[in-house]
Amino acid sequence: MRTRLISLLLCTAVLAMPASAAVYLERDVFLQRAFGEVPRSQTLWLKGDIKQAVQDILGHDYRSLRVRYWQHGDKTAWVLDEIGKEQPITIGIVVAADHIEQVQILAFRESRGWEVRHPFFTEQFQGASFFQGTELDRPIDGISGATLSVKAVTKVSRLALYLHQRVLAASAL
Amino acid sequence: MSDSQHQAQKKSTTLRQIRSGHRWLALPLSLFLIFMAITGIVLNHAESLGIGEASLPGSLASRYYSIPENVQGYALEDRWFYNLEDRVFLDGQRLLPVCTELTGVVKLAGDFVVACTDSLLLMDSYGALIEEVSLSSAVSALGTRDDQLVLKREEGAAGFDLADLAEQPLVDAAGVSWATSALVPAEVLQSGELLAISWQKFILDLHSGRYFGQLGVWFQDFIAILFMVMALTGLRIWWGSRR
Repeated sequence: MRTRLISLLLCTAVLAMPASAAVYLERDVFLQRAFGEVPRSQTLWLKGDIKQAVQDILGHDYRSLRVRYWQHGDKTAWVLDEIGKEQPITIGIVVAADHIEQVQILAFRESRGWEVRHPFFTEQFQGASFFQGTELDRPIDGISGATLSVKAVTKVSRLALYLHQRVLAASAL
Repeated sequence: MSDSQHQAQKKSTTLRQIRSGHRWLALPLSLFLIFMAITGIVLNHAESLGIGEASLPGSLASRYYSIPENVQGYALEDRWFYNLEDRVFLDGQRLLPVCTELTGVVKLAGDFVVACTDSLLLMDSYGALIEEVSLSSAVSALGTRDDQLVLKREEGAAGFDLADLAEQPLVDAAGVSWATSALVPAEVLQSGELLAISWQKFILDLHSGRYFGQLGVWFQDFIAILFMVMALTGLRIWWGSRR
């Protein structure tokens, strides 16, 4: 009885321990998986109407004045940061032909909400595109206790889709 | 008096003593409980109340929070970069990026390049973040040679191209001008936002006792133990009353 109680307490203590900041996937590995041969990166300045659209999607200005992306044909890959509760989450998004191909959590620095890195959550975004304006064409199921992380990943996915469209539109000109 | 009567009287006396102790503890602890409940509720609704953004008046902040001393930073063109509380500061202004350890600052093509252990922050002359570049491994120093950025790592130095994020190991690090740190002047530390303490931090420090330093933390621990004593004596009283 006593042994079971101690085991239960230990298990509870371990499960209750906050996850520390973690890098789940290196940027270069993410890009290699997306493209095979990684194209040269390019930068996109977030100014003018792009800046306004970014603000509308995120609810605030993006943390930097420009973002970096990788493009091959009609496929782009983005590595973007967004604050969950207090710390930035680094998210990799691949967009192909106006649909999200994959979402990967590259680094997570909060003590809570790290469940968003699991495929059961990120796979919801596969195939997602815009429905009306810059809203996704599907609801994204939340995770109890990870609301802010879920919101951050959802916003960044929308942002990547939007920036992808802007990049392709500029390439077409 | 029989043994059973003697035992019953003894139990009754014990219960009376517990009840008395419980009552006397309750008086001072009730004040702490009210204080902790109020600060706890406020902290629970910090976001909707906006206390994370609102700052304490400077006079209050400077009265109760001290400015750190002996801070190492990097001076470039009479401007000081340093990091405190996991943030980069430029001449007293707290900048956006998180940075646990500043390992070098250089100027390149009109922009500042700031090394934060495993990332590079590219900033314009106003301190606005142009781009944050994550690195594959930690950088211990930053330098320049012939208008090229050079990173120093444990395994050696490498040239870094900010345009396409390409690294090339340097066989020879001769001629690299490495950024060196120095003590940030007190007047720079005392200026600007260093004392921009949010109401949330202030209330959290009060709630946790940290406001009064380590003694305050221990005192809060002591109060928490007294609360446990209250709970246990309360249970004992309830159990005694039932019987």
